[in-house]
Amino acid sequence: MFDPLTAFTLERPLLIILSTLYGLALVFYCPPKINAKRAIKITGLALHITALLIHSFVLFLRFSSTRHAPFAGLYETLLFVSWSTSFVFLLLSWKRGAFGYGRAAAATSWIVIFACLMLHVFAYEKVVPRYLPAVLHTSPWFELHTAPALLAYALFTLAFFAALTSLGGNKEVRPVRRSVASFYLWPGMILFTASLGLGGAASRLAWGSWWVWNPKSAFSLITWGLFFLALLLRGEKRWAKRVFPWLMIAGFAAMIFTYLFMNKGLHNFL
Amino acid sequence: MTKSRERKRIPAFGIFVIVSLILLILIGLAGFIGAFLRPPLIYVVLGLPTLLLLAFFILRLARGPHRESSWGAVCAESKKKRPLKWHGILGYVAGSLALLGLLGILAGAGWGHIFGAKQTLTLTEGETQQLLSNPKDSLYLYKFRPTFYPQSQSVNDYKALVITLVDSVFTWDTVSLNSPIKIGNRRIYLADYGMSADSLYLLFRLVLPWGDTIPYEFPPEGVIDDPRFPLIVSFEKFHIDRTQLWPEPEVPEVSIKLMLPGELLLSERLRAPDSVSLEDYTMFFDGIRMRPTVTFICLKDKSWMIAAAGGALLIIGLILGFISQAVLRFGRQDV
Repeated sequence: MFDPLTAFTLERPLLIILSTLYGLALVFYCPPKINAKRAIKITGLALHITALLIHSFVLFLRFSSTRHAPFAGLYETLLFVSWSTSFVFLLLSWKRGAFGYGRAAAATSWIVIFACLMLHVFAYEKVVPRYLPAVLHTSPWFELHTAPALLAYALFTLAFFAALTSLGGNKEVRPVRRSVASFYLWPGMILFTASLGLGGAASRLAWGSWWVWNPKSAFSLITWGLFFLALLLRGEKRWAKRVFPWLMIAGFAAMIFTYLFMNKGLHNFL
Repeated sequence: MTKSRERKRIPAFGIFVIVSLILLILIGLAGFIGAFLRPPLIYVVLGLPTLLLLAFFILRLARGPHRESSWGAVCAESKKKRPLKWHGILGYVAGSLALLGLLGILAGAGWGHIFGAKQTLTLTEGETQQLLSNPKDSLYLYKFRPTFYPQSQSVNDYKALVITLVDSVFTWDTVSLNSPIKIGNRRIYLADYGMSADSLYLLFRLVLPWGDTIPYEFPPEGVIDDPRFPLIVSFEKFHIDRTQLWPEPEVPEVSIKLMLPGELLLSERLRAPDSVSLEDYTMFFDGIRMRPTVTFICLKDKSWMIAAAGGALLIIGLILGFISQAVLRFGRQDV
């Protein structure tokens, strides 16, 4: 177990190593020559797995110094979201023909870890471990509600990249990319729906209402609605081609807006 | 024949989808501009797209388990592996369960509003209030205490010792954050607490010449002309914020004036445990006492069971939907 000061001191060099590893994995996922593709990409995969292991240790450092899951504050959630993106990619995709989305996962993890590093250097007051508000500290549902939401964000991010790339490419590749997008969207929706339900359980235990209106919950519902509409349209041949990718993009924009800008009221601990 | 059916179907979907989208965007704008949608407006604004989504969903399910239209067909574009018939059926079952789940959640919300009863009570220590407008039932707040993180002024929990009288039965109980108590068919939640200038009291003791002691509690500002007290007491306003109060209250210096009508007898600045004497009377300043305002919620509502069942069905539907399409691969090539 680590005390907060040791954890804080260790984090910065580890973040530098992580951003380097994710950056290198990204470079190896994008080989300049088609012939060299497989061997180079496997190197990228190895770098990605190494980065994920170190990243897991950073999360453990945080957990051991704060004694709660790393969901308090922007820095901690960013750490978890970047970890989740690589984790869900490595868990779900690498054997399923979506290997190409390694670059999306590595790029997302790299950008987010770089943002964490910048926070560590220039805004360390946002990085210092914080106490959880009493209502979250005493709730058994806090981690259960937040973890699936952040994992769903990671899956939506990968689905967004797949939907975005489905707008380009040739006729053969586009439908496959849409399938990749819906492949990530499904577990994302399951987790996001579960998160909303578990948030309801937390709210029920604290205030007796299973839905409490605040900006974040209202916008989460909008995000859920957009992705749900995308799921429904996915089965319609014409809509799947024309509207599905744009709905995914809109859902992703709503998700980012909800995550970064709707932290008021009950969710102001972010 | 098929073509004409297709033509008829698409505009209907188009209207549903476009209107749902416009409404969702409007919610976003309303939320952004007005900041924080609250009932009842939120029900109107969210209700319409929800109904449209449901209508859209029902329309899709009405087509039956078809490999091109059910949830099992999401990968139907892949030419290498066409979905099997049972994938379509599984997708149809998944869709039906999800729809039932959504309806269950909406039914739960409706049930709660129509048949549920909720009351928010605000009490300070020593106060009593009726529960759910029933004169025979009451809640009495005996004591309220927050606890703190070690070596910090951040609160990590709070508890209240309450006495309830429900159905002619007295009960002593401790209610804490996230741990409601259940009494009969109602639950009592400790929702929040608040501090304000009105929550503070200055504690004085007046020792009379023959040895008797009279305790007093005064609000921390203004002029007190209490018939029980022989003098007029005036306090200068002082500021104390919440972080100065707990765990160890920092006692402020109080500027006090003791007067008779039209005559100033004494003016002093006191810090506990200072005292002032006027002839044979001695007045001790014992410090401050806080009486935070504690908010309780009393609830009589079973709607959460319907909503929870709806939520479970929705998730099961989504999981089955995922299974119905996850068996399909989208190829080994990089995309």
